[in-house]
Amino acid sequence: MGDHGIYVWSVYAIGLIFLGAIGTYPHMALRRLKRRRREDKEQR
Amino acid sequence: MFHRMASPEHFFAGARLWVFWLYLLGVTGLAIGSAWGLFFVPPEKYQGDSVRIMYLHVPAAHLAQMIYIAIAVAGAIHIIWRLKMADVFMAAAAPIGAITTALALISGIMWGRPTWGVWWIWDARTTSVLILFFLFFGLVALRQAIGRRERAAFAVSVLAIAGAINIPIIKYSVEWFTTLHQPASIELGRNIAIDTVFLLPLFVNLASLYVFVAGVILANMRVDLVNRYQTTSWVSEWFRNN
Repeated sequence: MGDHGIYVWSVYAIGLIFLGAIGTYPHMALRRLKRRRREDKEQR
Repeated sequence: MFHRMASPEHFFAGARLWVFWLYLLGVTGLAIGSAWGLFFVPPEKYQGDSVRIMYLHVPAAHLAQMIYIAIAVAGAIHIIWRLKMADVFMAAAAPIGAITTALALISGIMWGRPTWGVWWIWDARTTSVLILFFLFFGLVALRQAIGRRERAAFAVSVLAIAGAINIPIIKYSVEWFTTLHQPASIELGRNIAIDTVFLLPLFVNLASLYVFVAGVILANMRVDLVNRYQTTSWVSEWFRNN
């Protein structure tokens, strides 16, 4: 890709990071909620 | 079916399978479309290899506007019919809208440098998309700033509806003003100004990003529902079974 390679690959790397982050966030959040609920139960 | 899906409990249960399939289809489509655009499309005569940035930039920019329109419609539905799921949608979609707009802006900047020779220019299109980013950011910040859920939902709805004025400004900015940004290459009822060899991977990525983000918004809505209805029996039962 010559001189344009740095721009093209940077965009796809940033896209992968952004889309990966929004894709995994809800699943991590649900897992965190489950863990917190379990800890609350154990404390009681 | 729509009445059932307006119930948080039924929505939460029904959305689970949708999230799985939308993620699977979206990720597969994005992988195919991106690989196609990166490795199998020839360099464009004037843009050279930087044309490959379009396969992320155009879908992200298009989707960001559609998410905003959907939030504004949900805001109107919430104000008129007090539908709680409309507020859940607004809360789930606003951060995703901010991130897709950021992706559109960053990819535009990275495309502008090799193509226009500048990273950024304050023309009508780029500025109105930057305003769209601040609007999404405002929707998220406003919700967090107001403690009471009902008041926050009303304020966010009003801001979403008022901010919708920016969408036709983005769309027609390249016609109303003299801009460095080129006019639309694809419009309904007009000849498409892009060759099929460049167009097909663009459509694959556009459709796939829509599908993937639909799955992400549904998944975010499920998280929001668990947060809102933590004390209800159906959420307790879900916790017990998972």
